[in-house]
Amino acid sequence: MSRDRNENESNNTEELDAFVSKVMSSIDQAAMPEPAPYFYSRVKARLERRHAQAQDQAWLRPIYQTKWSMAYLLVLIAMNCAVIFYSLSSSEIPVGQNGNMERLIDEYRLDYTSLYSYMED
Amino acid sequence: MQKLLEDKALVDELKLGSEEAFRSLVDLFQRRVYATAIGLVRSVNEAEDISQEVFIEIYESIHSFKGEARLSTWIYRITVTKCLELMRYKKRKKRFAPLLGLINADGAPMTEPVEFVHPGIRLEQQESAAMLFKAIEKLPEHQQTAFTLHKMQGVSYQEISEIMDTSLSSVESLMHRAKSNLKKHLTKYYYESRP
Repeated sequence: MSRDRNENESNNTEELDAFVSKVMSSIDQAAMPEPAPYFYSRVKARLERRHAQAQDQAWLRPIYQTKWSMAYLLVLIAMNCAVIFYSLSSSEIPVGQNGNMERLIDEYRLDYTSLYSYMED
Repeated sequence: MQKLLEDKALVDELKLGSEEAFRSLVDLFQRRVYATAIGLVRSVNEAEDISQEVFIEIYESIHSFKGEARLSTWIYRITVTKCLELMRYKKRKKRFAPLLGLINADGAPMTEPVEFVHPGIRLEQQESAAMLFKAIEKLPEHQQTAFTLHKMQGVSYQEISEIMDTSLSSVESLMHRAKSNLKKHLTKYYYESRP
């Protein structure tokens, strides 16, 4: 019984080895595939198309160059700084003059909503 | 030596912008580039697309070729890089496919990949080869690259090490691991296919 099982197992291993080596060698004799005919023409057409596209987008090129991109960045930083300085310098609440709407709001601590609703009434 | 001189002359001509040299280069390498691409990406259309992109990249970056490696090594390197980029992109796409399916509710059907048939393999070998390609697909990408270059292109371990920018012993180890992993996968297929 045990001998039969051993024999079966060894047969299986042999079969398996034969299967693996058959599958592994299936690509050994593969011929080198060739691209479809007129491959060079297709490459050339693609290259020309690529160049034409690059020429169309030539005006965008400076943006990608380091010195130009740095200059754009500096301009953006300067504009942001200007806005910050302006908002800091004008951060004081304007004091209203006598008889003005601001003065009225300051004195009676009114908010705009209630003021306008009062005026409408 | 003769080969190196021929390569150098070809590269010099290419650097001067000669169209004739570019045509010779395409004629000389198109089969090798296409065969490598088809072995790695396992799709005829994608292999054609990659091959065209490889030659465009060669044309555009020939000035950066210093001649330290052989021309064929440099071209193989570009091809392998492009194939790996596509394989990674496809893997990412596959990973996010369920999520994209939820977002794209346009009802476009998800296509199952068809079994790849290598055009260079004889009819009687195609069933076995399809099984082998299925197993190769499961290997890590470096093992796939080394195995495909060596088994399908006949590239030497030395050249593979230059293409993959690694040591010779690493390539040997990659090949050993690739073979043992393939054996594991094929054993699984063997038991699955048995009645």
